[in-house]
Amino acid sequence: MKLPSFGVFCAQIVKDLIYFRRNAAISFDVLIKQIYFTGVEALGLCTLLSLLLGAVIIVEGHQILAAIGQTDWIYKILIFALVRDLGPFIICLVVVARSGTAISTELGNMKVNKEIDALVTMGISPISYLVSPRVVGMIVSLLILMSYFLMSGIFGGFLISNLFQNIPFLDFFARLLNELSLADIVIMFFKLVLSGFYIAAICSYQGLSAQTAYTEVPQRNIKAVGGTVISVCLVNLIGSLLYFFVTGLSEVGI
Amino acid sequence: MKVELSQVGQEVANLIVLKNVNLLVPSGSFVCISGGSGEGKSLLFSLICGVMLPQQGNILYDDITVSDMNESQEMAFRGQLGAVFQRAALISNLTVKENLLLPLNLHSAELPEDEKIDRVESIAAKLGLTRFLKLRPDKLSTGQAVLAGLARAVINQPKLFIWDAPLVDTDKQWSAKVLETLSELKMAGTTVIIFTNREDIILQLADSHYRLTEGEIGLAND
Repeated sequence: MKLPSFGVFCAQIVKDLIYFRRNAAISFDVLIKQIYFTGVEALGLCTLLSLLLGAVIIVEGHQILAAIGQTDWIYKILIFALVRDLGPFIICLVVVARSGTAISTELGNMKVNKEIDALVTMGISPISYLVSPRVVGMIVSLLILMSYFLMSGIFGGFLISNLFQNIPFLDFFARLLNELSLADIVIMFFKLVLSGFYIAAICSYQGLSAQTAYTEVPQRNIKAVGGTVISVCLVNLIGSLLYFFVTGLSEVGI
Repeated sequence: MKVELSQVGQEVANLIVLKNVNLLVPSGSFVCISGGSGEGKSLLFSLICGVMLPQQGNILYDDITVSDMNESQEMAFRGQLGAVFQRAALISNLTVKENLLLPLNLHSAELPEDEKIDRVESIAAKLGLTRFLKLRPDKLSTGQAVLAGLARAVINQPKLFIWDAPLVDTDKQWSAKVLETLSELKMAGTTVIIFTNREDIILQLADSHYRLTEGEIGLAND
């Protein structure tokens, strides 16, 4: 199977996603397995990371903000870190390290084993059967992980904030919600959906680029990780610029 | 299904592996193509399977090339094609049963689930694979995996059957099962193309025998 350029490959994925139901009979299992592996099995690691992140933000933030007499800003910082910037970024990096490499390894081995050729012979498009379900699974998994990340991050922040000031959870949560805007949520979704697409697409592309030797698979892995980390950074940067562009305009009344 | 190769040429890494290959396999005939290691048998197998398009020349299936087929014609062609790869190429994250169901779910989706399962169990019983249906390919021996690949290729009752290097990893008892399956395909009027080094066994079924030498194909002098 000859692989097209990455741009054409992405266009084929998008086209295939539009007709996803056409391949549902054979693709659904792959989708469920991807969500389970990426979105469920990584819950423990993401929960621990978010608890720690929430706690660190409160400890560090409280010290700095107390020095300038602005401790209420801690909620703003928590929203910025957990929802808008660090949260999606950390989740994506965890998923790249864990599931992205698994995708490129699995597809690379399948390519070397001629399994991809066997699929083509049977009339099964590797993009429909292997790539599109992984793209959808990756995006759904990132959203699942992010919701857990938020819950445990907020809980971790609340636990540590009680060391500095005794505040009921509902009060803490209400102040946090007060700082949350629709733009925060939209940007979070933007970053997760786009990053999920690129992580799955780049890792699949690199895996399918392997040819005949097993020694190519780890080399493709390295390229996949490098490419996905850069794309996740770029998506986060674009998301943040969009946020500041939109909120900046609204703050000056445009 | 008639298969016709016309002036097919292919290079790999600037090395000419196939040159001016002309071959006509009439519908329902059984053809054996032999050749030494590295003579291009697996490459020709990939070309005839339609996994890749030839760099030079054409391969016609009932007078039409894969690149000239529209989407539905290509799907119909793929549904009539059964191919067994040298190392079976079973899908590694599926069980043997799921591997056998894959072509059925795609090309015979209209069949009731019970009938699909019956077909899987029947072909598995015939090839002695019943015990292995729930296993993944990495738990199979090489010979078992090849038989599972054979089962997957014939489960949709193909009109064109192609096999790269059969009987390499199977013992005597299993070789008999393989030959029985091949003769059934021949009886059913399937066009069969076998790439092999074991022509001594396959030739008892073959209508014609070709040999690949230094990238060129010609009738073998048997």
